[in-house]
Amino acid sequence: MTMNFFVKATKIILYCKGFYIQITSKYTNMEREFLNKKIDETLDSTEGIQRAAPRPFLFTRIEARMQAEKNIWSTVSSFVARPVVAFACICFIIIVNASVIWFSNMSAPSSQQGTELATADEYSQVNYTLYEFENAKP
Amino acid sequence: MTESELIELLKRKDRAAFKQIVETWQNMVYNTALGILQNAEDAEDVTQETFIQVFESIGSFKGESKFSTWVYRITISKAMDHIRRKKRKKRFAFIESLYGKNDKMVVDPPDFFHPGVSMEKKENAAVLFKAIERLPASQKKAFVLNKVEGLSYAEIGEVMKVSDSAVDALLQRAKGNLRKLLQDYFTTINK
Repeated sequence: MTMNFFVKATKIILYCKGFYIQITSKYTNMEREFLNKKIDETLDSTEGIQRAAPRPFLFTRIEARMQAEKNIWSTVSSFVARPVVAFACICFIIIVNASVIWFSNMSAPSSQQGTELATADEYSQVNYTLYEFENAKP
Repeated sequence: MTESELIELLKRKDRAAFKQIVETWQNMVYNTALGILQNAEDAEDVTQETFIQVFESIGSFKGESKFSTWVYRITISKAMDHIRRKKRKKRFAFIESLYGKNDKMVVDPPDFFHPGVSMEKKENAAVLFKAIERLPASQKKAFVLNKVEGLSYAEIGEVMKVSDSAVDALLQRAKGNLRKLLQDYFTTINK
C-alpha cells in the first residue's frame, strides 16, 4: 500500500517536472527547428565560394613598395654615413662621457667613504705606533 | 616554366620569375588574407607584405614542403600580425581618446561581404564571417583554410604543422563555437 503510494507520488512529481521543463523551455519545437535550419544555412553559406582576386597591377604596387622601403633604408644609411654627421655623433659621445666623469669627480664623497668615517668615529679608532706605545707619558 | 625552375630563378632575384610567382599565387594569398582579415584594404596590404617576404626569404625555402604551403604559412603569419597591430592601434586610440588627445571615434567595421559568395547567400555569409571573427586564432585559421580556401584536412595540417586528427578537432570546435554564436545572434534578432 505504502509502496504503491510512493510510486504514484514519484510519477506525479516526474510528470509535473516534465511539464514545468516544457513550459519554461526557451524555445518551442518549431522555433528550435527553425533556428537550427537557419544556423545550418548560415554555416553552409560558404559552399561554392569563389576565390576573391586583388585589384589589377598588384605586381607594380609590390615593386613600388619594395622600392620605397629600399629608399628609406638607403636614405637613412647614407645620412648616417656622411662625415659631418659621423663626426658630430662622435663629438657628442665624447662630450657626454667627459661631462659624466667631470661631475662625478666634483660630487660629495661616496656613501662607502661616509660609512667608513662614521664607523671610525663611533669606535674612536686611533692607530698607535709602537714608539708612541712604549714612550707613553704617565 | 616549372615551379622548381621559377623558385631557382627567384633565388637569383630574377624579376620576371618574381612577376610570374606573384601572378600565379596572388589570388590564393589575397583570398586567404581576406578570409582572415575581412577587409579588402588590409588583405591587399598583407598580400603585398607576403610577396615581399617571399622575395626576401626565398633563400630559406628548402623545398621540404610544397611552395604553396610555405606561401600559405607566410600569409597567415602576416595576417595574424596585422590583426595584432590593428588591435594595439585600436587600444592606443581608445586610451588617447580618454585623455582627449584623439578625437577619432573607435568604430566597429561594417558587415563584410566576400566577393566570391553568390548573391542569395550574401546575407548569411556576412553573419557567418562576423561569427568567424570571434573564433580563437587557431580555429579561425583552420576554418578559413577549409571553408574559404577549400583545403583538405591534410593540406591544412601541413600549413599549420599539426596532424589530420588535430585539424579535425579544431574544425569540430570551430563549428561548435560558431553554432553557439549564431544561436545567440538569431535569438537576439528574433527578440
